[in-house]
Amino acid sequence: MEYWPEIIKATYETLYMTGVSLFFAAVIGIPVGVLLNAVSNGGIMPNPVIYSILGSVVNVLRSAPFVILMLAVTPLTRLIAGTSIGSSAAIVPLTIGAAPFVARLIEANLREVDPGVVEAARAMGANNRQVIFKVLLQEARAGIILSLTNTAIAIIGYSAMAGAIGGGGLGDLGVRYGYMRFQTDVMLITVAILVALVEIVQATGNFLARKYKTK
Amino acid sequence: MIIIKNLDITYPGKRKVKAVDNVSLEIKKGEIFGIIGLSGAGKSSLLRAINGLVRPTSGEVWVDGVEITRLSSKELLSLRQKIGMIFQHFNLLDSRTVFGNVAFPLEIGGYPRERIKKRVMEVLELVGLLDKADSYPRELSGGQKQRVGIARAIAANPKILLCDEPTSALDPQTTGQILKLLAEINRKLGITIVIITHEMRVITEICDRVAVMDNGRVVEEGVVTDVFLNPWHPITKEFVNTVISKELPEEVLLQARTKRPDREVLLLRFAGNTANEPVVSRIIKETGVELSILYGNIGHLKDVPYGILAVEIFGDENKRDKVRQILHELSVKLEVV
Ligand SMILES: Nc1ncnc2c1ncn2[C@@H]1O[C@H](COP(=O)(O)OP(=O)(O)OP(=O)(O)O)[C@@H](O)[C@H]1O
Ligand SMILES: [Mg+2]
Repeated sequence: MEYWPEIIKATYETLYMTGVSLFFAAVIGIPVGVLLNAVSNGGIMPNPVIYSILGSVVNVLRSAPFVILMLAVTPLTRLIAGTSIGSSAAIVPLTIGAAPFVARLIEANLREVDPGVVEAARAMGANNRQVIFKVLLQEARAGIILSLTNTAIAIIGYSAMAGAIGGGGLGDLGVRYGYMRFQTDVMLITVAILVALVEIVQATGNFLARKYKTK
Repeated sequence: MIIIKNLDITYPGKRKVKAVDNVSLEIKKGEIFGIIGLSGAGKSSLLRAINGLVRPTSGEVWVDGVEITRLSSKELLSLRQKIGMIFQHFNLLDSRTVFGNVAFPLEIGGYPRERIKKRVMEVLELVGLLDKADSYPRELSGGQKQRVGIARAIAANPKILLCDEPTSALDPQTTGQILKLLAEINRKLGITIVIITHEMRVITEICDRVAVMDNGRVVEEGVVTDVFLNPWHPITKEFVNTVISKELPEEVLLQARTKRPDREVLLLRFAGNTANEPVVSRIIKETGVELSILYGNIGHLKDVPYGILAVEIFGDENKRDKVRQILHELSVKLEVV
């Protein structure tokens, strides 16, 4: 079949967009999630004002439909990626879409940590930084791994829409050949590869979560 | 060591809760001080005021000459490194091994790696868990977890150990072992221990002095033998009754109530050396009364033996007066039933 080079290229583009977006979504989302948890009611430094402001920003970004978000952030994309089309350009909206998702998941993961353990650390004289790095993030690590796994899978799904801005990827390939040209075989292959990718990500996440489980 | 003056703790909120109400206490260096009370009495709040985990609404807390409510948050952090704490539900870090848990306070204290290793092994040996250093908390029994909690609490050589119901989640046998370990730590290392509980046995087995809390207030306080043998507050009486029933059996009471001139029923309470003396035989020999024991309860309060006896004495008024005199000499407390 003469389409294999294109399929391989699309697979690479999907992996690239997902990997880089996940990385940046984690780099932004984890600190925001930690902050949300810290200033929440029952956190280590409760602050209702900061919590509601930050919470609203996160919610707005999270509720915007991805296609609209993708087009709306075009100026920013051009600023960061130097271009507004292509795989690299798709990374900007994917990151912006995924980061708030990560933030909320991490906030929830940290809320699961037994308050008694945090209290024990504070009784031993741990400061806020030590509580966050030595207690909260450590104790919640298995949950955090699963949150990032879910985020990766969500990004794989959203990256299919990246075709709209010429981002390429498996989703785009499937739509172009399967829907527009009735090349069912290409479409089936791309779907099979996507399913396999999701399975591999999920299995890896589960494996790591089990390896780093605490309870 | 610890002086608490007119301490009030009120939690804010719609329905303001006064958890601690004008409490004053003095805890001496090297003693084991027990605080007993029912659920919601304010014990945990009071205990947490000692290491500043709870900021009091008013009043003073002096720890080793420092008034801690006036400390900055940074000073408070270093003070806490000198005060160990253990908990009912152990509160171990599940993500760390036993070694890692015990190392935690030493990491916070900025100890060098080599010293941490040496010290962790030392305290694990002390609590008898050297072979579990690489286990995770999930692999341990409740008693073992509390041993790790104790090792962690004493790792940084604290002067004070605060215990929040350390045996409430353990079975009776394990409770005994943990209490023994706490007493041993107090004796060997000279650490002052403050222990809160709702189990009277914790007080009778290891405490030197006790305060009884009810509704945020300390309602009774003193040396354990005194409070135990002479409780006056209803709450204290209830707690004492959970370990020994001073309520005399119905038949004894019935017998005592049928008054006769040549006979009376006395309730004797004694602690300390008196408990080792042959009180009964001395009475019989010296006064010539006849005596029968209707009810008895003897045991130990920490290391002090005590006894509670109901005796029926047959003899004339004269002889019975003599009995009283002897008992008074031996500082036995007595009550006519
Ligand atoms: N953080 C808090 N906010 C509001 N109220 C609180 C808080 N902590 C405790 N209280 C209230 O203060 C009172 C005393 O609580 P505390 O935990 O000190 O009692 P306790 O004697 O330790 O009880 P228990 O045996 O159940 O642990 C209770 O009425 C409780 O509901
Ligand atoms: Mg309590």
